[in-house]
Amino acid sequence: MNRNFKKAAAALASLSMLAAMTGSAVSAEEAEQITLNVSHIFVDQADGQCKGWYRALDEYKETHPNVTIVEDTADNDAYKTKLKTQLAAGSVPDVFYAWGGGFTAPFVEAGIVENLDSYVEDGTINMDAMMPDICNNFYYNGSLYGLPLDSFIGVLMCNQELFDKYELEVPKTMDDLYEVSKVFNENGITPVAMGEKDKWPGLFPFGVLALRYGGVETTTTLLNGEGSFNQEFVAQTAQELQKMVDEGVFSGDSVALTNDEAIEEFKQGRAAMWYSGNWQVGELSSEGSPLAGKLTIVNWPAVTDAAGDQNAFVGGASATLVASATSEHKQEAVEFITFMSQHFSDYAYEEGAILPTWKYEGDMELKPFQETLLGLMESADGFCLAWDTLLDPETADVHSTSLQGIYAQQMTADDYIEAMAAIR
Amino acid sequence: MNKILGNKTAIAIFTVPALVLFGGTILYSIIMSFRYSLLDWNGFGEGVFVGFANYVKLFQDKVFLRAAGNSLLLGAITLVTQLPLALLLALILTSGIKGEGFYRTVFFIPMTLSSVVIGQLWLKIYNPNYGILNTLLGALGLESLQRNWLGDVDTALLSAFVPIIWQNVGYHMLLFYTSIKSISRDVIEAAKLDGATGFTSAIYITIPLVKPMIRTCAIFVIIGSLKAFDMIYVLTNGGPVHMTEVPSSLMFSNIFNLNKYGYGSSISIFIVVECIIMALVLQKMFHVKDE
Repeated sequence: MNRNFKKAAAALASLSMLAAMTGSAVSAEEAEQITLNVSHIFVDQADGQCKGWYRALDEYKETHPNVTIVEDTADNDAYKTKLKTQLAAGSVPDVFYAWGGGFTAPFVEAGIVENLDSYVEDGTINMDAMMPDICNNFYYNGSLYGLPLDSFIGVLMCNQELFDKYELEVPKTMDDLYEVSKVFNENGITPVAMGEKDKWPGLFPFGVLALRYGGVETTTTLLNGEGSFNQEFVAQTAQELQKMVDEGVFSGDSVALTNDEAIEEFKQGRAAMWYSGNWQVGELSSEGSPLAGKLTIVNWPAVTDAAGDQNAFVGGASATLVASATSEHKQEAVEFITFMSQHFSDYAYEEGAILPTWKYEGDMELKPFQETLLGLMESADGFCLAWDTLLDPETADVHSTSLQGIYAQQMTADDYIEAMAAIR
Repeated sequence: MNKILGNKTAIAIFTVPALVLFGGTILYSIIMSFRYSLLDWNGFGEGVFVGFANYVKLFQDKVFLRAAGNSLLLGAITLVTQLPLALLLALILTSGIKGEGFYRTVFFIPMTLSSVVIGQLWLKIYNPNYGILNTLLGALGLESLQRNWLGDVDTALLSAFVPIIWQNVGYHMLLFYTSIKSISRDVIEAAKLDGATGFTSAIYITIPLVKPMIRTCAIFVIIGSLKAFDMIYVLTNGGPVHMTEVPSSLMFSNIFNLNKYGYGSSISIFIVVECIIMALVLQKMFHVKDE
């Protein structure tokens, strides 16, 4: 036994040496072993985006055996804190997950993020294979700094069963919304679920109303730093939001609820509508969800006679992968983000978790909700991200805290304008 | 042994590890924070030296002043509710009631739980829809008192304080308990012979004898209140509209949400200085009383 084992071991050893020699003869010039440190937020294995990420990553590892990927992950909020601490301390991962607009701006200014222009020129990144204008939020001073991961649109999800029960129509205009809200309130049902303790969910209705009153272009110009917040359309938006709060469109305790609690309210039929990004649509309409087969997905109601875009959406691409400007393996890092951006787009889309950011070339059959979302996207007047993504962090904080004040009925539309106009 | 303790070199050698640890982790961080607090810095790239401008801004910032006020209020409320409650519980436990060990453990349990767990527990208690507090009020026919405890600006601050106070009662009770237990039986017996029982014995014998422990606990309570963070972060995260902000939560959001490392660091230095001053003032107060 022992002798046989020794023999086998010797044979194996010599075989592997042979293999190693021939192997190295083939790949010696093309690949040295390198390591890329990658920080990202895909931690929830049940989540479709996470599944998409790992399908793409596994494929990358198979096709790039010379690259070792070392992952460093944390959940969304914890990730932001961790990443900022890391970057402030000067230890920059080769590749990291970030958000376009205001979040990444200070990193770009500090020269931490690799400028991608030259890689677009030399063909490493093929912009034509991407959806048009998808990288809009990743340009700083005219240069591209990040590649998109997901894109989303804000949609009003309606529990059709509740609408049928009270013989109501899904609202098409704000007047309709006030009407149905009245009926729902009379029957003890929250019209629109809202988890404003987290602050960001409350920015969605405001964001879309701004598009209704001001339009995509005016809003984007304002958010990109031109002009004062003391404008007619901003005031109208804030007043409309205040009216919604006063009329009881949102639940009275929205500021005490987190986003997760609000979703739960909607899932259990205690709220008739929910307005958010399309991230949960797949999960909510899947089998086993209490809302399966009952979801009607539409755009936010129009404002009759308002000057803006009545069929524009809150949405666009925000999440991004960027490469470090100080990485020892910049070329590989940029190739990695290109590979991941494209394959993540395909795979997470197939999982039903995102809307694609690259032109989809797979042959998967679309689920009904995906067709609905694509239909909405194709008919849209335009898109603009939620304000906190595009504004710098400080302005975004004043914006979201003041809106929380409106939801808590502690501030008025005038207070909001005053607070924002104090910035510019 | 005496020879070693008298040997200055030996003293120096034995204190080096502790000094290095203290200097490297605490002193160094405070000094670096102070350095950052003099900068206008977003955390990445180069900061601009602005002298004491951050501190000037600090005392003009309404949100910060409210946060500082909130933490002082927390200290005051904790001092007049938590300590007497803890002392009362300790006195009852040491008076020889049945199940002493059982109650001691029960009261101490909140201390063994993580603040986040307690925070989540109280979030559920306060929940406006299914929380036990509103349900109880409803069952008692007190619907008019039902409210959105953590979301209403009028009740949020006090509602956030209650779990903080509740959490630490057991800890102070245990400190008092051990302190009372260590009082010599002779003293108690002598008092008993002189006719002091129950209430009088507690007022004239027990409480004066555990005074050093009361002093220690008072310092713990005040300092703990000034640097309160975890429970506020879980319960309200400073909201709604900054009503429940305390200096630490404000420091956190300034640094990590707003990228204002300089300004945030000046808040952290404020907390350090405030804690040191408070500790000195309290020491002084108790000394005056002792004399």
